[in-house]
Amino acid sequence: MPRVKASPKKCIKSNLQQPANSWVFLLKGEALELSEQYTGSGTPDIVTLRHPNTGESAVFLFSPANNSVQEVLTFNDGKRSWFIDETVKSDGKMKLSTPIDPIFLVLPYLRKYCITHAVPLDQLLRDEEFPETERLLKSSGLNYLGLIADRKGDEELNAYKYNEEKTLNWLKKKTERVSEILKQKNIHINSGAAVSANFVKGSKNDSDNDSYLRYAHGIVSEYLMDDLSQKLLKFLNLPEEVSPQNLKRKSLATPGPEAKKSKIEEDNKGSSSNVLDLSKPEIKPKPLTLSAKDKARVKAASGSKSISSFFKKS
Amino acid sequence: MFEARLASSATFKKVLDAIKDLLNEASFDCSDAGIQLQAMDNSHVSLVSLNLKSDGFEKYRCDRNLTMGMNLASLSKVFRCSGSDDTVTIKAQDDADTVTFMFEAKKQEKISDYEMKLMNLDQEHLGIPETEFSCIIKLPSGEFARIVRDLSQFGESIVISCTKEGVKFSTQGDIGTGNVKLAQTNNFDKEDQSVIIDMQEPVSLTFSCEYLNSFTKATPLSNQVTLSLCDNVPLVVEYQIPDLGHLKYYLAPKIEEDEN
Repeated sequence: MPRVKASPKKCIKSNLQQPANSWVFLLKGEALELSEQYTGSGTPDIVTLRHPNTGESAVFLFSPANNSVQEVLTFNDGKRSWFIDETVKSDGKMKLSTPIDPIFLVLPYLRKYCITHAVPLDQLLRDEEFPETERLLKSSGLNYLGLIADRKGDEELNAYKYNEEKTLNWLKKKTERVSEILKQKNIHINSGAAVSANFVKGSKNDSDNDSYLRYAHGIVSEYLMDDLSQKLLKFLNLPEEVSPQNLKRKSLATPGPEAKKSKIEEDNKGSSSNVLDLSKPEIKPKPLTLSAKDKARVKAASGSKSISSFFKKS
Repeated sequence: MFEARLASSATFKKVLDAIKDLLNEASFDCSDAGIQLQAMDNSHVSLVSLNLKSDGFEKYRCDRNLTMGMNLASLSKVFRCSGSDDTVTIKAQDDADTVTFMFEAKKQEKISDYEMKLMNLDQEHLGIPETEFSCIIKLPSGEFARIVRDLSQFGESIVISCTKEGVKFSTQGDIGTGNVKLAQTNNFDKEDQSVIIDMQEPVSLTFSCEYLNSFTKATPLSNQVTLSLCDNVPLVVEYQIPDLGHLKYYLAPKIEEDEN
């Protein structure tokens, strides 16, 4: 379960001469453990990749053999400093890392390039702005790519075509699992209403189920492009209306990670200067007047060159 | 001024039905030679080229070249008002912003006229180079429409491959595959019912069903359709309009999946 953490061990960079460059980093143990076959340098790597929700650069952590990916978040409540041995670190920010399913990171690429054509995975995960994206190829989670895409052609070619139905099913399962955990942990999701943290509800009813699911959808949506998140909402049969408490969840969720991330980006100037093209919506909002027929034609036209490229303009 | 009288308004109606599926609006270029239309569909994957020769009209007068931009949906509303045996006269002043259609019943017992507003469309004209096609296939237009309709139930695109033996249309989709093979049949008595293949070298190209289906809306115009294929060149689907001209559709081939 992604949200349950084993007792994390404190990991502090030893470079105390330059306190500005040190981070306080809580890391889940398994990212530091080396598999037995592995004989490389043995430190996890911190890299920037495209964030699946925003398309902006965000910081991720690869385990030494690249087989697992963790997302790095920064916790910052302002007035805080750290005592480290006999020094004080004035920067009170704390980095946390949690494992993330690499399929979430691949999803935007699939949705962008593999809707009409199958594309070999190694070509797909080549992003000039984020060269490290290639590392995802080695992550073990990618073996489950079949859950959201169809493999086409030879097994060797490893080419995939995006399958929205599969994707929504997969996301539905994810959402349901998150909502299960929320229930198990008795997390109060009615942030709008004042409820004591110690208050335990006697019985659980069905309407509860829906709000848990909606809350879980909010969490999962932090890793999805907005349009996909809307589709998922429909797929989960959740009504469109957004009640205030859920708005709250969303509004807390979306700007949150970005605000945190921007801090990390400052430390990684190399990649943050990039201007992103993914931040544009992938599918252009079409004018509402487009009929079903027109839509079918737009779809039919994909994969063909423009006719004017064959003929000279006169 | 411009004036053109066509004996059968039904023919013009058929032309309209054949192009309004692909185009929302189009410019009719009128000159001494006749009426021409060239336009791309919204997705710029196909091109429609219509040529109606001035000889084909009962009466044709064009003092000055004239371009009339029309909304095809509106135009077909106008033609829906015509009877099947009516003659039609198209009239426009040189700098007019409207065009008039006059329908006359056979015995002149009923005359109706409709004036329609013109549109200003800026459309780019494409020069279409002469191409030596690898394969030119002539087949009954009904047969072609049937094949395209049948195969488009199965897949999104159709592969047209032409060899010495004949021409093969094939498709594949989620439920399976479909193939239709046509062998050459030389029926000299009824040329428009035979399949004639003129092949220089074999080709195999993939095209979108959706578009081919739209092209077959021109089937009522002619008993025979001509498909011209060549590698890396758009497919040409040509319908002759008897005594009046022709309607050609150009369609860019699909880029093969493997190349991507």
